Parts: sequence; structure tokens; C-alpha cells
Amino acid sequence: MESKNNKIEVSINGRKKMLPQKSTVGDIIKNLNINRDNIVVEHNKTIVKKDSFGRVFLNENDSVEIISFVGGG
Amino acid sequence: MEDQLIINGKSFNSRLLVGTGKFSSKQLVRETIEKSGTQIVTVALRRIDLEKNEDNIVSYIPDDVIIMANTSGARNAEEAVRIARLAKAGGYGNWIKIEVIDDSKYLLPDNRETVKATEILAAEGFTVLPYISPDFYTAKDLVNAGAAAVMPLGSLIGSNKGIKVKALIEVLVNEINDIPIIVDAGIGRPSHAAECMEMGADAVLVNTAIATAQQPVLIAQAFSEAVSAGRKACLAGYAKESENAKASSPLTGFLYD
Repeated sequence: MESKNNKIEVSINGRKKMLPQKSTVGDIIKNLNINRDNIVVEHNKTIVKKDSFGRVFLNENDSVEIISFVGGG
Repeated sequence: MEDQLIINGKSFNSRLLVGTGKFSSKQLVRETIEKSGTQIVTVALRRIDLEKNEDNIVSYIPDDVIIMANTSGARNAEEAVRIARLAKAGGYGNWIKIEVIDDSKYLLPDNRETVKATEILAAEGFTVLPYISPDFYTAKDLVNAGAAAVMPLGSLIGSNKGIKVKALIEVLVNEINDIPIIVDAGIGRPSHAAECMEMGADAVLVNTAIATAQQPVLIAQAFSEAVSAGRKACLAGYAKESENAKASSPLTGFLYD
């Protein structure tokens, strides 16, 4: 798939975002200012271990889910 | 020897499980957990709000309390399994409440999909507590699937109507002896919780009735006391009902001829 202006389109929690090429999961977490202790991350339906965030590179049309624990019954 | 609740080989003094949803503040969750004496609480998994940087609910749960994620949002077994694995990756243990619901009006659980999810997750080493409509065959399948307990609903989630399926829960209490029966959903008042325990349930799970009360901490204490009272009544072997009156004072020696 072609990317536009050196950016790639990635879906984060269901919303499409344009990110620089060669972005990693770690970059997303850092840029969103999220505490990585409190979250679980899925990349293309695969769970990403916390110590691998910086090694998972994103491609056009990838999907990332950033999930945390909330109150529930 | 103390009468303890045993789930998957782990012992608990409290027979009250508490859900953490619907509270007006997270601080209230902490206080309620502490004052209720509960040792097992449920949480849910959701996408984070990318705009806000909110505290995780887990930081409001005391360290010695078991955090049991639920699979709420799952509409089938596959989605429940996915949520369970995500929960486990979160690092708070592998206790999971299976909640598979594909109907937004009644929020009734899909018993068949719940059994499927239980089989898969129990085999992966999860401590599985499945939430079901009280059905004898489903409960037997869950025992065989490796569930650590069975959680039949008392009435619809959040309805606060108490126990509307008493006869069916009694069947489970009488016939399912390998794993605990935990009544979950619809318990609206401490008297409902006491009723569950009197009929022989091993524990209850309460969320809405505590979280949405005017004074959650106070009612949580009431629930705790009701659960203890109901349990004692069950162990004491409470007196049977009678169609006719039976006098409480002697029938001889009256003060007249």
C-alpha cells in the first residue's frame, strides 16, 4: 500500500491517525503520554509485551488497541 | 475450623464479591472495598480514552484483593477468550469472570458460548468463574469444562429485583457440589444476599446495589453482615416452615381450669 508524504495511516483504538513512517508502538505510547504500567496493547490482534513496545514497527493500515482496566461488574 | 470459601484451592473469609462498576468516584471504590471486607473484586477492560489521562481502577484496589477481570463486551466465546488473554497480559493474575452477552435489552448471558470460552480458558490455566442463567445442564458442562465456580444470575443485571429464579438456583445448590455457587446479578438489598446464603449458595457478587446506593460504604457493610448472617443460618439448619401454628409456650399449666 502506498503511504502519503512519508506518513502511514494507522488505526488506534478505532480511530485513524497519520503517523511518521517507521513509528513503533513505543512511539505511540510515548506521544500519547500514557503510563505503560496501566495498559495492555494489541497490534493487529496480537498482544505486545511491554518490553517489546519499541521493537514493534507499524505499517500502513495496521490496527493498535490500547486497553486498560476500568470499573466493571 | 473457620468456615471458608474455597475457589480453586484458595481460601477466603469473605463470601461477598464486589463489582467496581458504576461508582461515582474511584476513591469511593477503595473505601467500599476496605469496609466491605471483600477479597475478590471485578473490573472490566476497555479502550483507553486517548484524550484523557485517567487513573487505572487497579490503583484503587488494595494489594491483597484478587482482581478478577470480566469479559464484558464479549458477544461470543472468541471475543471472551480474547479479552481474557488481554486481561492476563495486564499482569494482575488470571482470574476471569466470563460474561458473554449479545443482547442489550436483558443483558442475559449466552450459556453455550460461556461453556465454550470456559473450556478454552480453563485449559490455558485461567481460574474461570462463568456468569450464566441458572441452568442445570450448563452448570454440569461448566464443571466438566474446568470452571472454578458457577455464577448463576439472581435476576437481570442492575435490576435490583433480588432472586427471581430461586427454584433454579436451588437445583444447582443441591446438585453441583464440586465447585462453589456464587449468585451474581440482580441482588438489590442485603436481605436478598442473606436469602441466597440461606438457601445454600457459597457466595454472592454485588455491584449496582452497592455502587449506586446513597451511601455505598454503609450498604457494603450491610451486605457483608447479611452474607455472614445468611451463611450462619444455612450452617445452623434453620427451622422448617409449617402450615399450622405451633405454640412457642407450653400447652399445659394454664392459669384457668
